[in-house]
Amino acid sequence: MAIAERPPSTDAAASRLSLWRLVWPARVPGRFRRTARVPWIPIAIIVVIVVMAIFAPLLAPYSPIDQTLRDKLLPPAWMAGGSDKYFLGTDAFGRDILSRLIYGARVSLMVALLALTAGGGVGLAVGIVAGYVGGAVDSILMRLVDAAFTFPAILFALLLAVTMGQGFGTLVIAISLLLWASFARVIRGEVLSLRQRDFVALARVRGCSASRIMLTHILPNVLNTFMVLVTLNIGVVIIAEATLSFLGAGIPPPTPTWGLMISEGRGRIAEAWWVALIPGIAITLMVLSVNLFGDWMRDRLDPRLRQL
Amino acid sequence: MSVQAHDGGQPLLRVEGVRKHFAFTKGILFAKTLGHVKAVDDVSFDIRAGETLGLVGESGCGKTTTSRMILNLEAPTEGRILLDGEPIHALKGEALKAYRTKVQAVFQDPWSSLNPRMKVGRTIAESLIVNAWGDRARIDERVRELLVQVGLRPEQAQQYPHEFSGGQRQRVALAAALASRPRLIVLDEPVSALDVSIRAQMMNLLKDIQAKDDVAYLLVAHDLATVRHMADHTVVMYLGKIVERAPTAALFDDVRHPYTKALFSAVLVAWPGQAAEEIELRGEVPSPLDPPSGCRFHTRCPYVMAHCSQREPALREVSPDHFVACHLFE
Repeated sequence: MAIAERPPSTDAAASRLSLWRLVWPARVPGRFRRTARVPWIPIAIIVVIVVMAIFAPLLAPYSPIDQTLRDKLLPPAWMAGGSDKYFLGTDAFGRDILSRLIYGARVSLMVALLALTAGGGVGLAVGIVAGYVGGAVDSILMRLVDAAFTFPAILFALLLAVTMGQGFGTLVIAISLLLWASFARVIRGEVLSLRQRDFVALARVRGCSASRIMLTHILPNVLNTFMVLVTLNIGVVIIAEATLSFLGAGIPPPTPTWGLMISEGRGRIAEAWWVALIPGIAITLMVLSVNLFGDWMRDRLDPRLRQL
Repeated sequence: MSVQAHDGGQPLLRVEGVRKHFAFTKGILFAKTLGHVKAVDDVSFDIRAGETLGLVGESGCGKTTTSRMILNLEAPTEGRILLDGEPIHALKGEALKAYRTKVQAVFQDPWSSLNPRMKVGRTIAESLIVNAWGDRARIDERVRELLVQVGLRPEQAQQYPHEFSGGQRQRVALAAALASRPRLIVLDEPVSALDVSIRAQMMNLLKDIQAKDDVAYLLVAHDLATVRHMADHTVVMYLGKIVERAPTAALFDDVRHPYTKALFSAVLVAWPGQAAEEIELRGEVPSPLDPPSGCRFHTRCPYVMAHCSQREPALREVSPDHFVACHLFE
């Protein structure tokens, strides 16, 4: 079982600098085909968005919710009829799109953080218990996971929004419910192979209880996989938040979220395309960046997860 | 083996008529049992305090299953295992915890037997921690002492397994096994994953520790040289059954069972003076799912007789303390 050893990283080709290569991580030919390049552009985009979210009140030129109806539906500054005051234009209520975009990042990231902590944490716990304890416990938990997969997540979220009322909490719960099952399934698989390793049997021989083995022997060994899953799911969460907000089951207006902004711009897409398109581009950039970053993380941390 | 005098002849560990059958099933929801793999079938032997028992056989003969039952990782289908006269599979709670301190193990694969995310010092201390053996300072002191005992440096407690070589890892695994001062250590192929050059070192270390701490070993091996070097008694298994059992010296001098002879023929080069008969085994080990009738070895035995496939031979004492299960000696 020598596969646990990580191959040394190959940075030999890193000296050949090419701008294109910075965008597209190159594969180094050789014994371990792995991405050697750090995806700098995706990281830069993520950093910009995170900084935007954290320092929103300092960065946003206007309030995201105050309406200036006189300035409604102004195109971006570089277009004919655009105003220097509103760099990305304004929406139907005369709100500055740039400001709303900056504040919207806050909501998207907050939802992602909480939903991944809650949903991912539950999935991690379920996966470890099901995989380690096995037997009837495993069967029951995994049938629950199967059930969670068959349930249309968006429909469930809408149901939740109707019964519990719209809001931040509902959104986080709905997205957590969407996430936990896939975490549980992947982690369980990992645990199944870990528990076959001798160190787990030896821990039993030394007198460790099941809970101690799960906490000290299994958990630290699935954290890599967990981190990779978290990164790969950031995109899923952002899309889910946008979808739910678009459908009106997310955070109620006027609080800006990217999904809601698209939804609001949808009706006037023919005359004022920027209202919907700009948040759309933001979502695309963010999701693409975290996915590229996630792929890189996965390759770096755990080559066995390539198939995910 | 000085302990034997005051323990009144009672063995440290007694394995009594132990069987382990694994159900072989088909289907998921309404699984049908198609048969049983008789991994271990009516095995009995004793281990005395401070001695080494070698358990030899081809892969799949049930030696690892036997050792896992002794470690209380699996329960036997039938029969019982007693430590100091107490059946181990009935132990619960505190008694089971106490048992865990008395019986430890070192496994074959040093790459799999240490948690890669745990400092080796913590691994070594684990049985002391779970048994609340002492405060932190005392446990740290004991860990340093154990590292020195197995030939490593005390400050290596702070390192992770990937910083060690295979041989060093095996030493760490041994230190972890010794921590609770066990009375029996199950050594499941402890040297077969190591380079030949460090095998002897490891074996000598094991012998030194035995001489000093008076610990008994159950040495599971497929390698006769290891067994000859280490074991006081040797048990030879074939397809879940014991075919020959004797003091190691007696066994190596006077091999009786055709299967044991075959095993010896395979390594004859090591003792050229002893070449008596050469037996070459043909064919595969039969499936334990459907073992041959009568004597399980009759399908591959060069001395097979008519009744071998009908009657199962019992273990008989052919000379003092030398037991053989073969119709040739009836």
